[in-house]
Amino acid sequence: MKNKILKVLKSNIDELSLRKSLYWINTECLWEINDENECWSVCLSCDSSNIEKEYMHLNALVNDHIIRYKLSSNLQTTRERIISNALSKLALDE
Amino acid sequence: MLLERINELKLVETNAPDGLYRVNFGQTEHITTNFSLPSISTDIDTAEYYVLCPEFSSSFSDGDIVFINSRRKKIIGFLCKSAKNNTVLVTEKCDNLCDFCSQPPNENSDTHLFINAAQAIIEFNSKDVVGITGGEPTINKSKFLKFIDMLNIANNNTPLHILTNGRAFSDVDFCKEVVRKTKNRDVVWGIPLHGHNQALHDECVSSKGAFKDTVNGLINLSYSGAYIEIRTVVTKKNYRFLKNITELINSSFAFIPVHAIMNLEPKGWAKRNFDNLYISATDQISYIEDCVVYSGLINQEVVLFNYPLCTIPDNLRGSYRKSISDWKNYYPDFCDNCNEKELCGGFFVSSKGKYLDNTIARIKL
Amino acid sequence: MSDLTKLPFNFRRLHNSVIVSNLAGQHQFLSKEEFEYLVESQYQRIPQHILASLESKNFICNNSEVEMRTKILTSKYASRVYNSLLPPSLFLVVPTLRCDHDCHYCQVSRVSESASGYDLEEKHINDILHHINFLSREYIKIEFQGGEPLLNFSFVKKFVTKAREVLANKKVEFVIATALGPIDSNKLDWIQDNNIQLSVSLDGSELIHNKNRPSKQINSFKNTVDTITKIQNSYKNIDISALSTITKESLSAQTDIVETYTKLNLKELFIRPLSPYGFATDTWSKLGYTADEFMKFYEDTLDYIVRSKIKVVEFSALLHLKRIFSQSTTYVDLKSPAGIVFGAVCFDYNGNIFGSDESRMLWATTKSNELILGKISSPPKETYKNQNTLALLKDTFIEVNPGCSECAYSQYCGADPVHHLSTQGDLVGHKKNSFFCEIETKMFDFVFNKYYTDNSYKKMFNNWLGECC
Repeated sequence: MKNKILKVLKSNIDELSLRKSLYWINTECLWEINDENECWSVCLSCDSSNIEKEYMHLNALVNDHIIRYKLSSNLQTTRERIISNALSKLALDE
Repeated sequence: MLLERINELKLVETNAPDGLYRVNFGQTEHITTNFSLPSISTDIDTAEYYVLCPEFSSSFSDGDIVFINSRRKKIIGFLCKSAKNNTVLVTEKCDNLCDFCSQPPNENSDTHLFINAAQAIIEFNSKDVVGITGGEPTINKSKFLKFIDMLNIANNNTPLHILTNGRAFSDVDFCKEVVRKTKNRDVVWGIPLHGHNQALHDECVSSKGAFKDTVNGLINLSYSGAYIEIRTVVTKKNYRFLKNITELINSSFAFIPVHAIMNLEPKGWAKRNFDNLYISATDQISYIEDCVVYSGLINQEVVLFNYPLCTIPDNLRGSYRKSISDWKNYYPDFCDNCNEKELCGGFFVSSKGKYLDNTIARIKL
Repeated sequence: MSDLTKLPFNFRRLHNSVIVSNLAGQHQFLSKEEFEYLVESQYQRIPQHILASLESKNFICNNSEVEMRTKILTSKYASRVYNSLLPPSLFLVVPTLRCDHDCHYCQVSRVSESASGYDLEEKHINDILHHINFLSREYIKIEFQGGEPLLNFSFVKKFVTKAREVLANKKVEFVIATALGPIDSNKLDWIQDNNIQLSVSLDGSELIHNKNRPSKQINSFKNTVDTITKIQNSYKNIDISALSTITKESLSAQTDIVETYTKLNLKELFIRPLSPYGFATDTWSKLGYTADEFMKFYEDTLDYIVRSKIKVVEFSALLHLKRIFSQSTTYVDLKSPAGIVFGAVCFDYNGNIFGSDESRMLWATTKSNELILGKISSPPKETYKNQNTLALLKDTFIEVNPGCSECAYSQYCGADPVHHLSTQGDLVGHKKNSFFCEIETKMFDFVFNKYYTDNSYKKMFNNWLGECC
């Protein structure tokens, strides 16, 4: 097993979004999130044959989740409102 | 009073007071009901009233509904079996002011229009579609509901094609009432959408807030299961956004079975604004094509109204409709050698002169 | 420009592009740069026609329209959920578990031809029809599955006759899923006279087909091909469709399948991947493959169809296209919510009622009774209310499933609770390890990518959607 560390600014992403990125990492890898004040520090442990690939994958996933986190600050409440209004409307119509 | 004229005949003489009559040559059985209109004919023996009018027998048949206007010495065909399209005007009031309005609105009283329309439709008792138009038929909600009530009470089942800007349907309760009252009748709602966003649509109909109301109306009406035909009149302002209007339709409402794309008719205000509005059919085609392809993916029909057939490429011919009523069309000189004249609706009579698109003459298909 | 607002959407990266999608089920294909501009709100840098499409599809709007567009998204989403929850129209009836084939990938726990105690008895016909009538609306499709339904042909005949009586006021179609072993002229006469459709398996060339689907008495391939030909010549009114289940063997066969189908003048082809569940681990290692291996095969096959301009419609692609463009809910495997119960209801030979074919199969191997909806013998009104079913259904809303809620394909994909229950032990599963998720993601990637970057694919897909709606 080899380790690699990824650091991300907390201002860019919250813990939930970080965990959502890690959801898609090869489940044979191990990972740990450490709180380092201004950033998150993710320690990724994989087989030496996989570590580079998974680390790059993690990077890409985190970047996309940074985008999602940024968009969600405005859009998440709207999305939830849409879903809950739609479903309660359906419940009423019954 | 303006009516959609199928035929306007010169009235020589009559003993009938002004109003609506049922033509009766005595050739078919007619069962009188509580709502029967008085009968009229050129033959004194076959009807309650007579009329002296040379072309009467060749223009009308038993059961047709005509309007006698003695002051203007005219007999007007109101609902006629021989007409390809029967349309009745129920009001001239409207809450939109479309640049291209072919029936510019006014504040004239419309109660008699509604009543005449109801009586005529009931008497005519057709199984074929009758169009309802205006102005905006639903501008007075209770009047419109009463109109439908009148038809229902008389047990009339005539299918209707109702043109409306849909704004009144943003009122959920009104929408529910209308749907309830028309549930046993075949109704097609023809609702215009001229833009894919508020800015464009409101500009085309010169009415702020129109898009919002129409969209809300379409949401309410489409999800109630009503059969809707959305209509777009193509002008310089919106022709490049036709596909976006289709995208809006498909993203926003319940399934809309028909999208009618309409070439400009040089009538009413369209004539006045012609140069600002008109975009040649040939310039529209690639945008129309995008719509047709996109609609094809979801089994939505696109129909093209008021286009000369020669402007429509083969792959779009399935959408072409010979739509210009036979009493308002003509074929300019450059159509003389065309071998598709039979299939083509020609041009609007109102487009004669400077409104005729001569670029069409150069098309050889 | 500065008064534009974004509305909620999901995104997914393809090679050099990004797909965005929203709760209205709309999508837009963007270049990497256009996506960046969208995220950074640099709308003036997005080409006009793309901006107009983003607006009309409810991804962005003018500030003044936010409330209206939110209402649009709400009603559109509500109507799509509503459509997914309409009463089922597909009903599966299992006349027998006996079978005359030994298909290697059979997930049904079939029994031998002569076994007894595995037939659905005719006395249950009325009860089943009672359930079907209770559950359905105006349109019904009844599919006979098995085992081999034709081995209990008398049941099938009686059922169809009775069904036509009981369900006279509804529109009913019948299909028999058969391996054609017991087929003969009498059966074909009856099938044609009664307007029954046939669904058969044709896995590829003789070598592949017989390897996948051996039968002790007959040459399955030859019998299938002969019967199809006979139907095309002498029973022209019988609607017969064929599907092809892909095993490890099939992967090496390249264009065999397409060639077999075109030689037989079949205009429709349905390539179905195997699911890992229901198999013992060593069976899967013999029969199965990775998602990548399947996709390589699938893409090569479609490429072959496009390049050689063969006039055949491939159904897997078409179903995905239909989901993308019209969010059609007719394919029970790609439905959210549900798919269980609301997709199909299955009446098993042993009197159990299941919410899908997969639940029936899973129950046969695990005997987990929570998969049973009820019994044929119980009155319909009492049957469909049990807590297990409700629990199962509530886990099928894809918008709230981890892994799915942010996926750009969530509006087109489906929740497959039974698949995850059987492969991972819970109804939702971890999507990273889900064969279903991997295949579906790759299928959608493939379809979107080809549609928007390859004009010959776009044309072909447009034709398919136009013909087959």
